[in-house]
Amino acid sequence: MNDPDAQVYPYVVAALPPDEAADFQTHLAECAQCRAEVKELREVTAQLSQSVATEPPPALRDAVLAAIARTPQPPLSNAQSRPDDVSTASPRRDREVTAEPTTATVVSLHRSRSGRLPALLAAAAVLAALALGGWAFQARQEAQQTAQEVTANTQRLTELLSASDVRVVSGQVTTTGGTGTVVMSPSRKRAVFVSTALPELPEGKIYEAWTTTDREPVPAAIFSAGEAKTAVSLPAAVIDAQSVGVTVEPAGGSPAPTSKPIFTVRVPRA
Amino acid sequence: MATMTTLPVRRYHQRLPWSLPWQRDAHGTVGGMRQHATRHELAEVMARVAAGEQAAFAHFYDATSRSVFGIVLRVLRDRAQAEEVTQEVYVEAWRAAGSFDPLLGSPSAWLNTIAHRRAVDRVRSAERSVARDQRHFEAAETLHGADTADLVVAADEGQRIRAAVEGLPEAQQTALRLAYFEGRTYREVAEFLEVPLGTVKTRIRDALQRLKKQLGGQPDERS
Ligand SMILES: [Zn+2]
Repeated sequence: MNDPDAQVYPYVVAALPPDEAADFQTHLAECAQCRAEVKELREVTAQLSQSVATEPPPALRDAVLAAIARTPQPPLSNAQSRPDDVSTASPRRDREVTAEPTTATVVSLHRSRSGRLPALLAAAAVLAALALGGWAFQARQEAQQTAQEVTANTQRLTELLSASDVRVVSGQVTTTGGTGTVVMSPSRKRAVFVSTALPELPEGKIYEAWTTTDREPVPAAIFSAGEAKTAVSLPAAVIDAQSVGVTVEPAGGSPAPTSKPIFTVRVPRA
Repeated sequence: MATMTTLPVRRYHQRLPWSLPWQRDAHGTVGGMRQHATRHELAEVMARVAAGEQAAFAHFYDATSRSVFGIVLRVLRDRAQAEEVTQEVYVEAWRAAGSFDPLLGSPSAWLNTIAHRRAVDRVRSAERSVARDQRHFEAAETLHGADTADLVVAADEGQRIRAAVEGLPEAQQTALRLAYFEGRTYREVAEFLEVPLGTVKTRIRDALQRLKKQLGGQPDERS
């Protein structure tokens, strides 16, 4: 009766009656093409809402922040299936969210049952995946790997991730298309660079990390990459820097970069 | 997997800072990044929200509340109810932050889906007890005049989007407004306009495809 692929348009503007919306969600779980279309159209409808943007009353902000302060967040494994639990019109909407059960986020979040620290590890995995963008499949694998490694091996990073003021920022490693992530905490005065995407360098070459402010880059660390993973401790100066970059330098490092950066991220402000 | 490379996330990716800050671009921006909340920054905020950071949630609210309140108010046409629903939307976003997946879209698209759905749900449940004729009357009013004036309340950043909507053929515009901004099902739209169901679907499809082409998949995260 209804061509399922044609339902995607009324679906994204919430114009399907409940029974048809439910049917379409069933279809969505099986149809990657429609999922991709929904994803793109949701960016369009978000812009439609921007076209009617209206300043809410200031008191609403206070009310919202007070409300979330007394609202516990469910464990992440539950949140996964509950984004629309109150939606009366489409009780099966959760299918859309779980339609891609193999994504890094889903996998890592499911591992994150207990509390704050795993949630942050998951957040790091999310960001790693985000930074990878179009190379989504690769992102999934790498993000999972990052979370696992981090959990298993890197005590310093684990401590850092448990800091209440932790900041996490990811960017692309240009040589491999993989992800590098900088994790930092002002209160711990510590930062770590993590990547699963740095290839081993030929003899006589080394990686050098830099921090930059308004002036020239300052050396932050030199390191080599072995196997599949890298975790490098960076100086606290990273926290106040504008950005962190990595270049390939002659063995022993350089006082100033001699090549184009293979990785760079802006340091987020608190 | 091949289709993934054409999704909006890929286009966004090209806006990541490739150069280090000592390579300033012509606009004086650093590494090509603009100074307001980009999609990437908002996604970072989301990760912190998912980790239970209330301060991050305040940022998230500030970056998105105009858009959320705007669409909820537009669908409900009642400030008191719009405030109530907007609060519900944010509480739901807070609770569900852990399920946000950047691979499935931007934070603002995710939040907008929650907001629009909630507003539509509210208006439909209200309709069960309110005469449909009244709603029809309001919708008719919308179609003949109230429209443009109503949209003008939005700030400048909506200009380009409003122009794109207003540039749609009238039949498409009407179908889109009734469905998205009035919260009507396509069956109601068909009944109201007295056209076949398939015609309404086609108009909604054409409108969205056209807007997608014109606006791309990149919402500006500021509103
Ligand atoms: Zn399909």
